Amino acid sequence: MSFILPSVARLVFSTFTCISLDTGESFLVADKSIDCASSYHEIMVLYGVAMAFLVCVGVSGGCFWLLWKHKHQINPHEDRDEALRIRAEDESLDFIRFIFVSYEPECWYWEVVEMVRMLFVTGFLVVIFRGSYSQICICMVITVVAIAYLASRKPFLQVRKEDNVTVDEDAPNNNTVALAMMWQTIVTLTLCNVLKGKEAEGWDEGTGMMTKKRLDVMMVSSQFLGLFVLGLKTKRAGEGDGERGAGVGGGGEYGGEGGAGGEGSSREAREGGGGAREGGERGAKGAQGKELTDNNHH
Amino acid sequence: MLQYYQMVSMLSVASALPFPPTMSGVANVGWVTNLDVFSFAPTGCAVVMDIHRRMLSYTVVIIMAGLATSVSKSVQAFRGGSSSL
Repeated sequence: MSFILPSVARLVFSTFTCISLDTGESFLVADKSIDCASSYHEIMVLYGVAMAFLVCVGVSGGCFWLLWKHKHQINPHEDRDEALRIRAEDESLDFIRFIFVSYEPECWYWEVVEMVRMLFVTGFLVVIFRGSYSQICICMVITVVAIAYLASRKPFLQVRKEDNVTVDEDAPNNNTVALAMMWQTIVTLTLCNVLKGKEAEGWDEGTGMMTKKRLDVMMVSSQFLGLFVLGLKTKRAGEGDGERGAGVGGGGEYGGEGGAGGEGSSREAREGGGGAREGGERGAKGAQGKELTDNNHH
Repeated sequence: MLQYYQMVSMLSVASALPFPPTMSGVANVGWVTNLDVFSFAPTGCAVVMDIHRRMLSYTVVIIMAGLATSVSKSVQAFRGGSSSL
C-alpha cells in the first residue's frame, strides 16, 4: 500500500504546480502541454483536490481506522509469539492481513506511518517547497525522525534464535534493510543539497574539488551503500549460521522457523523447511513462520 | 528497498533538481518502481495520455478497488449473517 500511494500522490500533487512565463502564459510544470488557464485544467485541479483528500488522506486514514478497529485482534496477547500465533489463526483478519503482516504485533500501525512518510516526502513537499533548500532539509528531518523511531521500535518481524526467546540481531531482516535504506536516503539528500548549491553558484570545472563528474560518481555510488551494508550483515549472519545447526526449524503445518528464516536468508528457510518436514514442534514458531512466509509472498 | 528507489526516482522531478547524467540514468531505471504503466505502454497512438488523464486513471482504479473490497466484505458479512440465522 505504501508502495502504490506515493505514485498516485505524485500525480495528484503535480496537478497543482504551474509555471508562469513572461508572456503571461502559464503551464503545468509536470506536463508543459497543459495550459494552466484552460477550463480543462481548472476542472482537473478541483478533481485533484478531491483526490488529495480521498486517496491520500482517505486511504491512509482508512487503513489506520481498520487497524485501530482490529488492534486487539492483531496484537491479542502480551507474549509476542503467542500474539503471532493467535493472529495468524484469526480468519476475520484476512481482509486486512496484507497491511500488518510484515510487522510485529505491537507495531500494528507501522504501514500507516510508512504511508504518511512517503506521502510527505513525495507528495506534499512538491507543492509546498518545490525546488527550495527547505524541501530537501525537511525530507532529511523526516528521515532522521523515521530512523530514530525505526531503530527504537524495530517494527518489522524479526527472526528468533532457536531458544525462541532472544531476537537474532545478526540475522538480516527488514529492519536492517529499512535502516540501511534510510541512511542511504540521508546521504543522497545531502548530495542533492550540494548539487543544488553548485547549480546555484555555478560549476568551477577543472579548478574546484567538487566537479560535476565527481558529484555524479558520488551520487551513483551512494545508491549502493545500503546494499553494501546489507551484504556485510548477511555475510556476518552467514558465518554465525554454522553454529546454529540444521535443525532450526520445526513448525509442522506452518513451515515454522523455516518461514521466519525465509525473511532473513534462503539458507535458513531451507534448513527450517527440512525441520518442518521432520515434523518438529508447532505453535508460536509456526505462527511466526506462516506470517513471515505470507509476508515474503506479499 | 523498492520504496527508496521509488523516492530517488521522484527526487529529481519533485525537487526541480537536474541530476548529473549518470545519476539521472540510475533515477530513470528506478522509475520502473513507480508502476507508471502509461510511461511504458505505447498508448500514444490510441489516446493522448497527459498527466491529468493518468491521474484520472490511477485514482479511478484505486477507488474501484476500494469499492470492490467494501462490497465483497459486505457480501461476506451478509452471507455470514444469513447462515447463522
